[in-house]
Amino acid sequence: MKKLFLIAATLVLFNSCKYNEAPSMGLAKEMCSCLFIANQSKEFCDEVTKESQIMANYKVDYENKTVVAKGLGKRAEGRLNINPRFGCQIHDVRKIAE
Amino acid sequence: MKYWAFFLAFSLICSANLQAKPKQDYWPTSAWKTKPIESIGIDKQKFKKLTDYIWAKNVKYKTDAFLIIKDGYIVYEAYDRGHNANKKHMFWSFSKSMTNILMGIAIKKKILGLDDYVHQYYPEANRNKAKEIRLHHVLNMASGFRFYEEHPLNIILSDSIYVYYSEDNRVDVAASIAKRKMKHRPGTQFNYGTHEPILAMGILKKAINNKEKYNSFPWTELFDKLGMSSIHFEQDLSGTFLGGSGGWGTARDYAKLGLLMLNNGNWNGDQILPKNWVDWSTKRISPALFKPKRERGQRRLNVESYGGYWWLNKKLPMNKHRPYPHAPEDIYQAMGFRGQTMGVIPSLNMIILRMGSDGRKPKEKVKRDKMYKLLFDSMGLDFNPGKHKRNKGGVFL
Repeated sequence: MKKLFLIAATLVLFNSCKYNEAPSMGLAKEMCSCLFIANQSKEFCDEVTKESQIMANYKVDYENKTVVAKGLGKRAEGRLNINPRFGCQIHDVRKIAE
Repeated sequence: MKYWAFFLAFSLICSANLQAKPKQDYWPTSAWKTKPIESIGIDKQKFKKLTDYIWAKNVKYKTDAFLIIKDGYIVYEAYDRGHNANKKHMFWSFSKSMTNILMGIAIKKKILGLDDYVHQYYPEANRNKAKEIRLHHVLNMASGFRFYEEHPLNIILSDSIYVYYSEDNRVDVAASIAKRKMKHRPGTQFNYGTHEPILAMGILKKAINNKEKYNSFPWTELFDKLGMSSIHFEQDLSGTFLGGSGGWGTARDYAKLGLLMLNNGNWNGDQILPKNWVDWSTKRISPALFKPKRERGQRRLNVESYGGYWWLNKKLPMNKHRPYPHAPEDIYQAMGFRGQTMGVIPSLNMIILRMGSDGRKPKEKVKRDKMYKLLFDSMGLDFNPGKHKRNKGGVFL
């Protein structure tokens, strides 16, 4: 019960303040960097981003080197720069309903 | 005549000593050379205690790479969890020390000056207290901006997350930092944060004022010269390098920055950094740290000592001991989240580099001082007189 209350309170907090895009943006960027800069395995990247995955989930487009993450009503895209030396960047942040 | 000959000989000896001498017999631009660990005179049984600690299983900290470099030679190198000499690792706040070097280069090339005002480059800062911020404040983590690297309530509320991962800030992170509210007068309060090196790299972008030149600057002026071919340096959408945590690369490449620092900014005869830059960054404690005011939620304030994007091991007047009592006083460290550590020790001509994926809580992190203790025990060195026991601190990153 206490846990449920904490989760609900966290969700309310996040949906009502400026931080609600952070989980999807963070996960999209971290996962993109881990997979496409470090060339790590999905398992390894899942482990190092497990904290970000508490409030967001993701899908990988290996062909376009893109990770789309969704969480707390927001969607964000992490995409490897055309020049990979500049790493992954966050694009296309929007509400999921849009 | 005899006196003149003596004077001439004396002058020659002095001038030879004054010239910067490389501390090793080759430069690892194309590749590092190796020597066996026995070459540094270690006690193998004691050294095993270090490796047992570093590579321990069933513990919360996770080491990915560990290197020891002595006199320019790799004497120990090992990897775990799928890493190897060619695998790139996130630098986290290692990037700040990399940014320090890039700023030093920009100052040597007279692109920037330490006394430049931030508002010369970001007019957003031309207001009240902010208009007094100079570049040296930014490089000493003392700009005075209101910024919580780790929010006292919860990590997720931290500004270090907000500046990267919020709709308002992500496009031009440095500009959003220049707009932040001020909390202190510049130079009066140390406040470690990822905002300062991002702003520094933004200032460099504005000073160069040429996208192509700025984009290639880290490579042409530093990475290519040192043969750091693995480096990625992330940018925000406005094209500013994320100098606080945007670096990626191999452990071997990052260690080259340590070697550059050990050689006072000289690489194979090329004086890349101003001659006083290494001293400015690693021997001079950020002046704001001498102000004893403690800020709410900043548990580490006035415990660590800090230079210019390098962590120092000097005892602050208000402390009883050095931050890392088992390491020599002259060690300076690049440190980052999840246990990234590179200790550079001029007196031993040595670099210790550890990359990891530790957790956030203190019990989930490798203990850096213990790591140094075990290493120096194995080398028969004791930098801790025994009276400096330390229970807290050094756990922020």
